[in-house]
Amino acid sequence: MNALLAAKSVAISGRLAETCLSIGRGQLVCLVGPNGSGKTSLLHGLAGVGTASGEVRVDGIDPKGLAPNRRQRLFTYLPASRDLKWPLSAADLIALGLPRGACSEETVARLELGGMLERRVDQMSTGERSRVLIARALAPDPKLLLLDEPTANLDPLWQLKLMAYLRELAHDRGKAILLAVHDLDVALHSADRLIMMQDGRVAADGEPQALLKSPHMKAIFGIERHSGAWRPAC
Amino acid sequence: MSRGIFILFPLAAAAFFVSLLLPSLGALMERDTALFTAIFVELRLPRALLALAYGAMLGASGAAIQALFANPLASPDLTGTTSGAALGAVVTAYLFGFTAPLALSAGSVIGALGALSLLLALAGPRAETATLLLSGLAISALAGALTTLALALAPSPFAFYDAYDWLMGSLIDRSLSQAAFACAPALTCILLLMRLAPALDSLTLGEEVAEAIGYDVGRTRLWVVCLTALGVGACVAICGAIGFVGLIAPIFSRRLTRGHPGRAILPAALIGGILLLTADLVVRTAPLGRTLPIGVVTALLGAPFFLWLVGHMRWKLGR
Repeated sequence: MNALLAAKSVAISGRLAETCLSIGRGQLVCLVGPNGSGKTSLLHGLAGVGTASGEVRVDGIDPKGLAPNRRQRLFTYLPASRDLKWPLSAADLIALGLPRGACSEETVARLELGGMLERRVDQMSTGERSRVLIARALAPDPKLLLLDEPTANLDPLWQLKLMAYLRELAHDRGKAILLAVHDLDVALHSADRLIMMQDGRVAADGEPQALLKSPHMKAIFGIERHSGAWRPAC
Repeated sequence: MSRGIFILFPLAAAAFFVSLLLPSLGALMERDTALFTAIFVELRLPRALLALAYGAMLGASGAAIQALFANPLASPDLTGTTSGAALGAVVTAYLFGFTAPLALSAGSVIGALGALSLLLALAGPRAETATLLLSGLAISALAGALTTLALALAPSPFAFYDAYDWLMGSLIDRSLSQAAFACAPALTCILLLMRLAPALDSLTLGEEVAEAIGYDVGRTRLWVVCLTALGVGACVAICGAIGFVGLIAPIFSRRLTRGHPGRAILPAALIGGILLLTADLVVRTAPLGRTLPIGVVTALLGAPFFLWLVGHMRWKLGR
């Protein structure tokens, strides 16, 4: 496998145990786990947020110390929070911190933001704001996407549209995508690979169908699948 | 960036020259050139320079603090920075006198730094409005009480009067060398704050994203605090405490930058300079028979604006 992301001993004191991880070009990987299991911490560790330590290489390059423009060409990070303090327009927010003209027209079109680019984000619904922030993460055309709950706040149709778009970006454009999700069905239907987190460490890593049927589900989530639906494990 | 910003440069230049030239000294120039030169160089030039530099520093630091705290109600005076600087300066003045600008500046900067550090410790880096205001209020109250105590313990009635007069905020009777002690740090701090604009803009997306983009948020915070303390402290040491300019200027400035908080630093500096030059013109031309302290004028204009802003925010939140 041609690894686009290679992480060695990534850790955050008290939140994330030393973790080694690699993600291949063109791979869409879903990160699942109960609340507080370390999904966001792993994304923070890989993005170099806070007190993260360890070695991260994206396409063979260490992003540490790179200028913001170059760093965003390597990877971008979408946080779980959709809270924005300043009322910028959608167009300004998408272009924030990017080189002039870097805003991807295709991304704006795919996320159907064309008609709302001049609207202020504080006048949008949370779902619309989510799409604007996702567009911001995609706009620099990064090789690696680290997305924390990108489907949160989106209606079912938009969840399907977004996951289809992310699969396309991974499979047709060769991007590596790591996204934290709570919805196991989203993970089941979209991911090429599943990583299960528990107590700040990777508990299981493998093919989604196999993992979701494995005893890990019961041990980690306390649920099991019966007749196509998730139920609390007995 | 809006074209409106480019109007601010000629506006600031116009306000500066009006401040230099009004009231007219034409008759005096013909009658006594030496006196005219003395008035122009020793009185009007330092006064106009101080108004421009102090106003610009308040505007720029207000914009930077608002961007840092992600809060439009943050400003050097409402965060207790100005009060802290004033306390530091009063205490230093008792030790070294009001005619030692270097010592005064040092005391003032230390006071401002102490107040801002206390605010960060009390309210946290992304303080909610109520927490920020209450913490700022507590720090201002503490600094105010300690300043009053220092006044009460003044070594002589003259020292008391000097300190009291200075606390009102004034640009009058400052020499060119005193002006240099305020203008040089203010200009340096404004230029350095402008360099932080991209990092402060990226904070709009949240601290985590700003760090993922590659900005060191902790270092940015430290720079804003130190530059604000240094610039505002140096100006307070020379001219006393002047309020509300640092609150008002960034709010108008962000209208010119389509809401970008970091990019608002330069226009906020220009608007702050224009506001203080205008307030000084009001002080000089008000038909009251005596000179008003400029700090009183900015407070009289700024306090209603602040009340309107709080009401407006409350209305927006409750909508």
